[in-house]
Amino acid sequence: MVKVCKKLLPLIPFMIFLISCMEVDEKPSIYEGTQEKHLFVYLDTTSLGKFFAGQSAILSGIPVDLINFDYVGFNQTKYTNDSGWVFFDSLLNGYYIASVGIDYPFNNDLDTTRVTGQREFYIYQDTPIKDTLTVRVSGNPGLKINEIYYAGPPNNIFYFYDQYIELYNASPDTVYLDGMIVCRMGPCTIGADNVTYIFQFPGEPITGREYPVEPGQFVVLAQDAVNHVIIQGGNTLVNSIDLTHADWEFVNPQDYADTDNPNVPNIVDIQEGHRGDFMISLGSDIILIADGTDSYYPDGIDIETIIDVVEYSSISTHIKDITEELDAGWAGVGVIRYSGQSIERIEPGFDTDNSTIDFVKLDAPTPGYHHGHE
Amino acid sequence: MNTIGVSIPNSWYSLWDFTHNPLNFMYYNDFEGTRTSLYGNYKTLNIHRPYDAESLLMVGALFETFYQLDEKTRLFAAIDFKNTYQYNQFRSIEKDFYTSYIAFTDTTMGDFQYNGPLIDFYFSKDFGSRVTWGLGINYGVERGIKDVFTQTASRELNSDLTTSLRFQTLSNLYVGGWVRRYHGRTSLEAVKEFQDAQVQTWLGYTVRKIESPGTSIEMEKNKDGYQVGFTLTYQHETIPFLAYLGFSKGTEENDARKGTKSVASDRGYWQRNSSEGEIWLNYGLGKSSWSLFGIIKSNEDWGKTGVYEALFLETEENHFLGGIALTSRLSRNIDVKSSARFGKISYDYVNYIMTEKRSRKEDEWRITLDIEVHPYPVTSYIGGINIEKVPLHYTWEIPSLYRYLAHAGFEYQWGFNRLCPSLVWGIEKAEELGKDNTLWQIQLSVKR
Repeated sequence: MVKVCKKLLPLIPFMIFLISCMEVDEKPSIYEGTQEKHLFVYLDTTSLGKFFAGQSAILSGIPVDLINFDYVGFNQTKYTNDSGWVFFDSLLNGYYIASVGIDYPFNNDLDTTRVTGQREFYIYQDTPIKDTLTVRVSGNPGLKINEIYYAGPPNNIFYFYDQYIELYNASPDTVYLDGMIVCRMGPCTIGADNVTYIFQFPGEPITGREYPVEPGQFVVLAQDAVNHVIIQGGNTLVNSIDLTHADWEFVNPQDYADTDNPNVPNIVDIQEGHRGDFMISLGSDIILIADGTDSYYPDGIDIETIIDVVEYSSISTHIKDITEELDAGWAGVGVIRYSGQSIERIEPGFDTDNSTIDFVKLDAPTPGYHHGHE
Repeated sequence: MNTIGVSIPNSWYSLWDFTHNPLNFMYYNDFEGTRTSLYGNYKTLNIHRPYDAESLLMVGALFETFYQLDEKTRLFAAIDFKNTYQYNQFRSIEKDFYTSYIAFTDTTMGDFQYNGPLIDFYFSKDFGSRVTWGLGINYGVERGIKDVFTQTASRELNSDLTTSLRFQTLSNLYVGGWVRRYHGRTSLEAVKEFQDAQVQTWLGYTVRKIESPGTSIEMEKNKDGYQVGFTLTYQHETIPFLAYLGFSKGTEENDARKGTKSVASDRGYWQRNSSEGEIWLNYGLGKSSWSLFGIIKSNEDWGKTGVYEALFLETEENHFLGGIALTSRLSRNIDVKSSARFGKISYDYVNYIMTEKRSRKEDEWRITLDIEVHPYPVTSYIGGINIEKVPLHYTWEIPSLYRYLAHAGFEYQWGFNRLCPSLVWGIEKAEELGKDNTLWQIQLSVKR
C-alpha cells in the first residue's frame, strides 16, 4: 500500500494546481428582495405660503406608488403615516420611481386640490434608505400637448404617416392658436436650443384672435389629414385611422410630395431648407409648442415663450435629452413601433411637467377625444 | 466491451448537454471498424411545458469509427450532422428554455430549425505496462433560425476537452484521474422586421424583465465548466470480476447578457457546483454476466442578478440511482439482456426575487428486456421493450410520466458489411393530464 501511495504522490500537486486554476465567482452574501426604502413625503409650499401660514403641510394617509422598472409585477402602494413617512420593505435592487397623484382635501382655501410628485432612485447595496419625496400642488392651466400618436399602425410597409399631435385647452379661458409654433427638438444643452423642425400656425402671435380653442376643446394636428385606413391601395391599413376630420394639417411647401387636404387648414413649415413633413420618431423624440413670439429658431426657442414640452422614449433607461426644467421625465416607455399604440395624458390637461407620470400608453390612438371618455 | 481509457460521454447525441458524467472510461461498443448511420426521430409533445415545442423532428447522419491501432493504442472518432426542427415553440427563443435559470423569450410562436455538426475524438495509449493516457475532444457548432415574424437567429459553439491518466498500481488495481474543461457560447439575435421585437429576460421561471423594445435585440450567453475526477478499479486476474469506484467534482459558470460585447448589459450569472460518486460491480463469464451499480449525484446552484449582484436563487438537486443488469445465453442462438434500476430524485428551488419555493421528491424506475436471436450465420434479430417511470423536473406541471418503448431490428451480413435497420416506437403517458406523447425513431446503419 505504501508503494501505491508513493506512486500517487506526483498526481497530488498536479491536481492541486488544476483546482487552483479554477477561478469561480463567490456566492454573494446579499439576498435579493431584502432592501428597504423610507420616504418622507414633503409638500413644497414655497408658492403657497398664504394657504399654509401657521399650518402643518404634512400629508398623512396618502398613497405612494412605487414602481420597479427592472422587473414586471413588483410594484407596491403604501400609505404615509401621521408624520408623513411611508415605509417600503422587501424591495428588490433596482431602479424605482415613487409617485404621488391624489386629490387631497386641504383644511384651507385650497379645498380639495390635486397633489403630485415623483422621486426616482436606485436601490443598490449602500444607497441611502431614507429619502424625501417632494410633492406639489398641481394644475398648470393652459394649452397642453394632450396626446402624441407616433408609433404608426400595425403594417409591413413601414407606414407611419398617420402620426398626429393632439392639443387640449385645460384652462377656463379660450386660447388662440394664432402664430403659435410646433417644434420637434433634438437633444438640448440649455433650454430648447436644438430645433429640428418648426411649423407655425397662421396669424399673429399673442394678439391674433382668428383660431380660438374653447376650454375643454381638443385640437388634432395631423401629419397628413387623410383617411389612412384606405390610403395604400392594395395594402389596406385596417388598423390605421381616418384623419380627414383633423383640425389642422402639417404642410411643408418645400416638400412637393406632401399631401395637402384642401379642407383642412395648414400649419406651415418655416424652416429654410427643410423639405420634409412633420414626421417624428417612432421611438424617442421631443415635441414643443410655443406662443410664436420667438420664431428665430437657430438659437433655440426662448423658454419664456414655451407653452408645453413632452419628451418621449420607448426605453425605460433612456437618457434625457432636455432639462428637467422643461420636462422632468419622459413618456412612452414600452411603446412599440408599428403597433398602433399612442401616449396620452392620464386626464385631459393633467400636467405636472413630468411626462413619466402625466402620460399613459394607449393600445390605440384617440384623435379628438380622451381615452375612457369616447 | 473495449477499454479506451478516457471518458466517453454519450454526448454525440446532444451538443447541449454538459451534465453527463464523463467518469466512465469504459467504451461500450459492439464493433471495431466503422459505422455509418442515417436516422430520423419524430416526437409529438402533447405533454409539454409552456415554452417547449409541441413536436420535434430530428434527422441526421452519423459516422463513427473505432480502431485498436495497435496493442497499446485505441482511437474513436465520430461526426454527427443533424437537423432539428422544433415546431410551435411558444415564445422561447432558446433551444431549451428550462435548462438555464436566465433565459430569453419574445412574444411569438414559431418553428425553429437547428443544424450543425458535432465532432467527437477519443484517443488512448498505454505507456509501458502500467500507465494509460487518454484524451477526449468534443466540439460542435450549431445555428438555428425561428422563422416567424420575430426572426430569431442563434449560434452556438461548444468545446469540451478531457484528459485522463491511469496507473496500474498493483497487478489488479488501477488508479486513475481525469480533468475536464468545457466552454460554451451562445448568441441569440431577435429581429422584428417591421416592428419592435419584445424580448423578456427571465430570472428563474416566474420573474421576468421586459427589455427595451428594438428592431434588433442581441443576447449572449457563456458557459465555462471544470471537472476533476478520481477512479479506482479492481480487476481480478483469474475470476472475471471488476469493481469500479469513481468520484468527481465540478463547477460550471453561466452568464447571460443583453447586447453585443461592446455595449453589453449583464443580466445575470449562475453557478452549478456538482459532485458525483459511482460504484460498479461486474461479473462476466462467457455470454453471461451481471452488473450492479449505484450512483449518487448532487447539484447545488445559485444565481445572482447581473447589475446588482444580489443572490436571486438557490437550488439543490440530489439524485440516487441503483440497479442491476443481467445478460444470459438461453440457448446457442438466443441471448437475453435485462436490467432494472431504481432511484430517487429531489429538488429544492428558492427564488428570492419573489420568495418562491418549489420542492419535489420523486421515485423513478426502469425495466428493460432485450432479446437477440441468431437463427442464421448472416442474420440476427433484435427486439426489446423498456418500461419506465420518468421523474420530471419541478418546472413541469406533473411530477412524473410513464414511458413505454419497443424496438425491433435486424442485422444482415452483406459482403463485408452488416446492414442494421431498426425501428423504435414509444409512448409517454401522463394520466393526470390525459395526454400522450408518441415517439418514432428509424435508423439504418452500415457496419464495416
